[in-house]
Amino acid sequence: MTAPTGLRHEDLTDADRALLRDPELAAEHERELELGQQLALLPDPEGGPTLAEVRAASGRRRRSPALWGGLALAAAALLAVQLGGDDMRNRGVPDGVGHVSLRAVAEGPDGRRALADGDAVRGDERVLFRAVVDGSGHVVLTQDGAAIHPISGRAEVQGGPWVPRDGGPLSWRPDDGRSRGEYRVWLCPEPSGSLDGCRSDGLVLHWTP
Amino acid sequence: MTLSAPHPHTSAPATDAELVARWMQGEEAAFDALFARHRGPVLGYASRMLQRREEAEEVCLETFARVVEGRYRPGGSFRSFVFTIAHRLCLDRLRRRGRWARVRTLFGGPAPLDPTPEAHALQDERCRRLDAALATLPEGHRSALLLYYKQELSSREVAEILGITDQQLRSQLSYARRRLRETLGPDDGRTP
Repeated sequence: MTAPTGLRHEDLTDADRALLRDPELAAEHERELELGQQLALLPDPEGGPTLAEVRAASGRRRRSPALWGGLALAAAALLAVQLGGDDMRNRGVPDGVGHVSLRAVAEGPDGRRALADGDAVRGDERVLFRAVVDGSGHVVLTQDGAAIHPISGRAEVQGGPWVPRDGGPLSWRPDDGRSRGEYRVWLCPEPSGSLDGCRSDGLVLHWTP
Repeated sequence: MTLSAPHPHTSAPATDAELVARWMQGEEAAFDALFARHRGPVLGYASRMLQRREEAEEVCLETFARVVEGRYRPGGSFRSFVFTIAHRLCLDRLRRRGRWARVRTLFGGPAPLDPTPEAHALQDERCRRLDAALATLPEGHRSALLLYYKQELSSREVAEILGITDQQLRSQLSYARRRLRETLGPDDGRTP
């Protein structure tokens, strides 16, 4: 058990306070609190977004669901044709696991456009994802095999559309210099564990400057 | 009515809970006051977590945009709610930085600091050293220290935001303080 040193008074239990009667622990406690006070005095930066920007951003997010429907349908039609390779990947997945499809839209200065597997995304665009789930289970979105939403665990779904992060625009452009990313949504029977036995659907996007 | 000023019926500034209640009743100026109160701390938290001013501003913007969208439900503290959003947005971005960034962190190297105007403006050498030392910590420990000591959230609130138990939080804080002291040196960075 970790000693309660460095915790503020209001976060200490009676047992903690009893422990801190020890003179050595009490002295260490004071030193740790002093370090905490130094952290508390770190200045907050000036500036930042304005209220008008916040309200404008909120307005954009509220308008996005209406556009989603039509664009997602178009993307679905394209993906249905172009993602035949996923059938191979899903071989061996138990019959009880439902089906899932991933759709993507790029949003940029010129508006939005549906993305298909292999499409290029410009540097001034960001990508919005949406999955459609047939059946219940637990879903996760990955980028090159690493979970990006949810970051830990999986989101429970009961079928229907699943929109990562409540439909907020997502920008998944890798900033480590990679120009290609594979995005995949997984539908699993279990809330955690291996992705073996999960059905998936995905697409590859190429990032251009 | 100016909401940064005291509430007309009291001599003390309005609390977050009071402002939230007024905002819920349609008083938009109450949100303005909440924003003015929490923008700096949220931007500071995101800046120290992400070490990139531009990304921190985006996180700050998105945090409050989500608040405006009415996702706050009275119950827990407003501050805790705001920092829960900000923390998750920071994690999203840190995760997305890709493998090389993660490798850098694993080997304990400091994340690169953008030369922000704030960094130049930090007159206090001690603060600068403390900030630099914080940047060397793994993200989990950095967030624990910042939320608990800098933002002065309760240990329960911080544990909830980080999704860990109280004991795990104590352990993280203890480890993080030790790492911080090691980086700062024997006098905790008091002498430049």
